[in-house]
Amino acid sequence: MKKHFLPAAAAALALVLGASGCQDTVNTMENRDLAMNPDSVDTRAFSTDSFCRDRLALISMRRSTTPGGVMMVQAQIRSERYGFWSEMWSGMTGTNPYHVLYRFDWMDQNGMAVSTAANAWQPLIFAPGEVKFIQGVAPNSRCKDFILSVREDPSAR
Amino acid sequence: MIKRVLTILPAAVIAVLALSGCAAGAHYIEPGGPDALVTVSAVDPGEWRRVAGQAAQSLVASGALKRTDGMEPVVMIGRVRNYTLIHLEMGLLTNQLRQAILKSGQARVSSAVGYGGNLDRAVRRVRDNENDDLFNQATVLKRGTVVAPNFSLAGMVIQQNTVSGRTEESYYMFHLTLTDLRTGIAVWEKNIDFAKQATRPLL
Repeated sequence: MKKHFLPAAAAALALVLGASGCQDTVNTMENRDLAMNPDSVDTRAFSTDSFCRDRLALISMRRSTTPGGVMMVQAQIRSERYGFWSEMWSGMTGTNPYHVLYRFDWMDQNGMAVSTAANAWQPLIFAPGEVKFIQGVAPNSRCKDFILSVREDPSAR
Repeated sequence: MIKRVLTILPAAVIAVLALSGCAAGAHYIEPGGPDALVTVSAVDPGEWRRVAGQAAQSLVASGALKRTDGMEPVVMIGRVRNYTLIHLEMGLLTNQLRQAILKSGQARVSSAVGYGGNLDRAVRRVRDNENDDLFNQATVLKRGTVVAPNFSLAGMVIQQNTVSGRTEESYYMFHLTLTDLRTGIAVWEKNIDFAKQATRPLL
């Protein structure tokens, strides 16, 4: 029993060390005293993909008006796929880095969706722990409401 | 003999079912959506939409289409030069940009002057009928009514290919510029780039 235990323990240790050595996370830092005064957006989320929901965290959603007089929104999203088990699993399943697609749909004051070139799905690639900013610009000044859709990119697997 | 047939038949049925399962009949997909093909050697439909979308958002957000000289902003869609090794239909980009500018309400787009499919030659041709007795001259459009553009939207596409072992990579960069035709100065520029990579199988 002892004869088999030692090689198995050594192999397990090597596997753990090897897997942890594969971690390629993003580490961030920011100034503590923030000077910005953002206009935050209350969001209402409808999630059908529990994997995508658990793997990405919405940190903030802000809005502003551009020099062109149209509304711009910005979502700050962080990949939650860091840590030993999460990274090992994503490495084994070929989903590290994490590929997602996002799209903004805009509605006018009557609630009618306005179709534009900007409705296209846009790709986004997250390293574990990475924070990214998704920005969407309204197609015209009459559009004030939006829907941000995020989904996993199956073509990247 | 019967025993042999009974052995082979299920295997044959399974093989036929498996092979027929590999085929996919014609079906609709969302252009540029998750089911669309991604290739290294070309600019795919989804990428045209993404480039157009990013460019349109940047242009509308910039406020560059506002004029300070009191003139109504009118955009001419110029030439987007292709510096890649492949044929690119620039209409896939410029058509979407035309629509985005129009929908923004910030400017109008000229069809009287432009490049390729953005130029409607009818604007000039209908005025060539002014001396044709076939037409009621009261209905022939007169010269001096066409609104001249005061902005020009043009650009270029650059491609760079690299190969390392079995891995091939393509890098594309779209560069778009909006020029104020009165001053000749660029008032908006945007670079949109993307890279794609594929590794050939060993065998």
